[in-house]
Amino acid sequence: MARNKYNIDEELEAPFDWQQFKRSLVYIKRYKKELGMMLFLSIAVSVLSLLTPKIQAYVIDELIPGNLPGWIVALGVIYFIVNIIIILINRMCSKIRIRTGQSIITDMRTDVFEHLQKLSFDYYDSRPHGKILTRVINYVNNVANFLTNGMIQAVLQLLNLIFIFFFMLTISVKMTLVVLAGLPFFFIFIAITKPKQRRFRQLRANKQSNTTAYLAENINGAKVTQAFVREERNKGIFNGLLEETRIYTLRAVYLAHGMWPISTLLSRIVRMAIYIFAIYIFRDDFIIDGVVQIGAITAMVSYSNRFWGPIQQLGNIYNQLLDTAAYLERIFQVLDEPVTVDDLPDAKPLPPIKGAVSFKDVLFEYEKGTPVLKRVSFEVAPGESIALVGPTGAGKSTIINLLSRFYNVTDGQVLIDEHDLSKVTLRSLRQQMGVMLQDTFIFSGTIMDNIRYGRLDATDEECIAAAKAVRADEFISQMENGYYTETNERGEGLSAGQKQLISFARTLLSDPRILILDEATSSIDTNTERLVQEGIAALLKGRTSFIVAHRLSTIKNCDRIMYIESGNIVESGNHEELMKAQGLYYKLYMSQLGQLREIEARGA
Amino acid sequence: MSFKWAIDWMGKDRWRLLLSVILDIIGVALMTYEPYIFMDLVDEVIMPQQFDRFIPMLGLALLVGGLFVIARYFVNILAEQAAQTAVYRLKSELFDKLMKQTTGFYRQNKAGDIINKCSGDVEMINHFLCWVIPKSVEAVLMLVVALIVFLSINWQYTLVLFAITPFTAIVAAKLSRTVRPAFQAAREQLSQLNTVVQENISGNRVVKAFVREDYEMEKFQKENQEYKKRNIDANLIWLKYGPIIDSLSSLITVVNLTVGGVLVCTGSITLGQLTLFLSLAWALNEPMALVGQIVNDTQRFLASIDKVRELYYSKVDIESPAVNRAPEKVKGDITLEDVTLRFGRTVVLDGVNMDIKAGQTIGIMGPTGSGKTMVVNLISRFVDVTSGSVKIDGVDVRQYNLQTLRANIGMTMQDVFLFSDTVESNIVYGVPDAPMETVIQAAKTADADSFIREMPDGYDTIVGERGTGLSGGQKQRISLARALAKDAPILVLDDTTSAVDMETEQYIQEQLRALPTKATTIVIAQRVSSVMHADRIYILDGGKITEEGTHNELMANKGYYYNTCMLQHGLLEEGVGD
Repeated sequence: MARNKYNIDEELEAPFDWQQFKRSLVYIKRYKKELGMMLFLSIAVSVLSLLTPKIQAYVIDELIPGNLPGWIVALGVIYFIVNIIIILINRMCSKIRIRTGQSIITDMRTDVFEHLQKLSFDYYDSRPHGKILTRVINYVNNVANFLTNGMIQAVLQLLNLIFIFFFMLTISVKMTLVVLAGLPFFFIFIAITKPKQRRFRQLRANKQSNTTAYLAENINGAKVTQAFVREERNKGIFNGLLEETRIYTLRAVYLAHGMWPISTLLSRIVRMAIYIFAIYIFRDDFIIDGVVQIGAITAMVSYSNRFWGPIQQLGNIYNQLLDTAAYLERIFQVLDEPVTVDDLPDAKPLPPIKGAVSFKDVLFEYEKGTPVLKRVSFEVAPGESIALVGPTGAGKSTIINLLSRFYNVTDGQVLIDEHDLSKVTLRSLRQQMGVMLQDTFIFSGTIMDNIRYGRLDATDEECIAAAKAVRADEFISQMENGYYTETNERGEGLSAGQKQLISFARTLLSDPRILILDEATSSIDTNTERLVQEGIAALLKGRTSFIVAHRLSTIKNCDRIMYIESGNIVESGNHEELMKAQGLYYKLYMSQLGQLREIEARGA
Repeated sequence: MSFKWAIDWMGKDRWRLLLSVILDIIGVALMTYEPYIFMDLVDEVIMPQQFDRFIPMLGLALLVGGLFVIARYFVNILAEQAAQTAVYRLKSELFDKLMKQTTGFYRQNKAGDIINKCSGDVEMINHFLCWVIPKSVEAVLMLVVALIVFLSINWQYTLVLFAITPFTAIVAAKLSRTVRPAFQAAREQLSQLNTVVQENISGNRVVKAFVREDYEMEKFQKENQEYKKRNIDANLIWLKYGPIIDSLSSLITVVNLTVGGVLVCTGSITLGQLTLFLSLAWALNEPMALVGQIVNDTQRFLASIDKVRELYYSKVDIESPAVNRAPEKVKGDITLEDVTLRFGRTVVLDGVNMDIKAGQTIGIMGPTGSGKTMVVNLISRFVDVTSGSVKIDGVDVRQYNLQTLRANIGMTMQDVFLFSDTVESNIVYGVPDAPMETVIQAAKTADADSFIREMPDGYDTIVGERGTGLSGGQKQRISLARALAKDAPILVLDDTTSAVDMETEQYIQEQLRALPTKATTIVIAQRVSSVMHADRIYILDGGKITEEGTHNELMANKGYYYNTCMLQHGLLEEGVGD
């Protein structure tokens, strides 16, 4: 299992390619109309922008020498109007850009989040949660600008380049070549720096993700850190991560900012070259009859400047592209994460469950070659209550996980009412199962909301009834705002037992056909537990249930007890049968009882 | 002042920012000087064909251009370096703050929001330091240069041109006022979104178990769409004012052209002067165009820095005393004297007294939510008493240096939290430099060694965040090993063996008893078997001690303890049959 922690970069195998951008076209295509409009408006602005210098030149060259103040004012007004039009078009364009950009990343985020919902436990268990969070939030935010503005700007600047190129050609083909001669140097710079640029940006993205992961985990584990007096050391680790981020950010920045000086310097050298070539090498073209053709030279110089402007812009866009690629590949990495547990194409909904369960020759391995369940078979009749006992790591939780198909069996079949679970839809299956896991999870919101999570359309009364059944009502109603008390993520401020009771109520409310309790009441006091059992007895009548617990008092009344050891069911039967058999269960039971007898005897 | 506060984070690297600003000034000067060289080149060298000065002048131009480029490069680099230093130091201190904060703080501040403050908001500060500051300097410089040049030519004309700037200022001020709340709204929403996603990730097991993917999607979409909307809103405000600012700056060229043109016609200025005005128009236009962006980003910066400062200056409830009057190493006597703990109107503990001698083991039992965990939270000072006092070796815990105090307590918590790191790193969490033998010894005592060895990478296996993927019993045992590795004089076991079977529990108890040094041990449990061997057992109910004594005394007392014992035993006894 490839697991990851805060200080391990998540390496990417795939090399950088245009595939990333081709894939992002899916998101862009939806806004074809908007992007087309933006391109059209941008071209309109470019064309109009060509007009303004002409007006200016006309005023200076024609109107002022001609002493026509009236016309000057008139053209001034026209000039202003043209500018206003440009500004308004730009505004329109920006408006579309903002909306489209936000829409694209909102769509992308939705897809990432939706895909995350399909990923199995493995994915979440094998990396710090902060790293997943960073992908959904920060990385997605980082790609908006390029996917809208960057691409359009690139097209626009390329168009500009072509225009200017042709303008230059009309003046002097030879001199155009001089201007172009600077380009190879620029490309060489890009080619040389590209691997490093890309590497540093990837590293920066990685280090940012590492830092966020470490931060997030430390926020959640702050109390442990304090209890173990690790503040200084963790600060040292965090500083190390920050330092790495800083180093790679700066390295990326050194190169990124290098683009501008190189292109500007090249444009300056090209300008020198134009003068030198005009005076010394192409003097026949530029000094005619002893008169320097200064107009042609200055025109060439100004075109050269305008040629290198877009090159600089393209350089910036290229920087953005590299940045965006570093984030896009991470985003697509999440989207490419295979969904290991999914509906088959022809999956059918599972009809209402009666409650018969059967395992046929079930083999399960998390990792190839190390089976956790070794060909387990058993049958459960509807309404039966089954207890699973056995040492830690024997496979009890695995059986339970397979029942809700949180994992797929490696081999064999799990059937409910004769329906193979691998052939039914997950939704129809899990909706009818009530699973209460070891890890209670409380969402931020009111206690009522948390109970209602079990059945969203439940009324307040139904939620309260569920809470009453599991004896949670007492402590909830004692709280300041009762059922409307706000809890934080993870239920800060509630004791472990209270959290278990709330999540028990939640499970009960979901009205499951099959109930699964995995060490669900371990932190609840014995008396409350007994009351809970009494409280839910009526509710559970006729429903199949699976219980994993260490307190034998919790399980001895179950219809059948299965003793699991290293992936096999070694004993099965009801309490009396197993006691009679005097096997492992008997030993376990008698040892617990022996202890309790001793306890009581000591008190006597 | 927010600006000074942000800049102060650069520390000594402020000189980099200063140097950046100086280089910026030099850069602007060079940039202004450059056109003059070319003017001379054309007028005095090329036109009269005096080519002896041709190459030297080109050399000069290249030198000026080159210096300008280098200056500009370092303007950016130095600013980035200084800003990165500030980011580094600020984040580091925020982390430090977070490590000091207690449960109360974490109850009020959602993780998603805190993360947002430490990342997005700090990035906004970074942007301000390395982009907004240099750009503002440039804008001001250009305006000054333009003003000087224009004044030197014709002051009346300059006045006309500069008459536009106040209007730009008014619009910018208006933008400044309206844009901030919009950005605040957007960043608040980002925190919301962060929180929903974060909870979804942490709660993925529950989401799946209840098939709530659609519901989660809906919840997420609500925040996602709202975030989109608020972002668009915040950006659209800019579109309301930006065009006005742009129009005003284009007005400068219009004035130049018309007023200037007419003035030339009337002979007030020469054509040459007008050309110069027009060629310097950028020096007025650029800063005006920048103003909007600067104002916009400054407001975002201010919205963010408020949030960061809020975190940085958040009050820490529990701190070490100024003077440390307590010993470094404690023996382990613990006394609670008339301890009362209240949260708001809720009474959690009410007049609790305990007297625990060094090396003793005591047990605490009681119904769910009766305040058991709070007793040990008081001893480790995760909360402070409302009245009364908690003493270790006769010294009030509030007089200990916090770190010293906690270093003396090996603690396991009810809600086991493991870090997504190797099993080994988790066990040595409190003693990072401990040798491997310590790790294995602690794991063996906690009966964790055998199952750890069966894991794919043994002690090097990385566990999921919070220990997901491990069973409850496994997590509890690793958490116990972690507490034991610390080898502290006080050991707290809060519900540590609730998810392990009784045999394992018994084994662990024996191992604990066999340890060479006997720590003062506080055991919180629901099972009688967990506490029966304790020197003294306290029963907490509704925040009060209702019973106390040894196992025998409490059995004789026939109260809660006896009943629980009978219940746990009796339930099993029924099952033996004849």
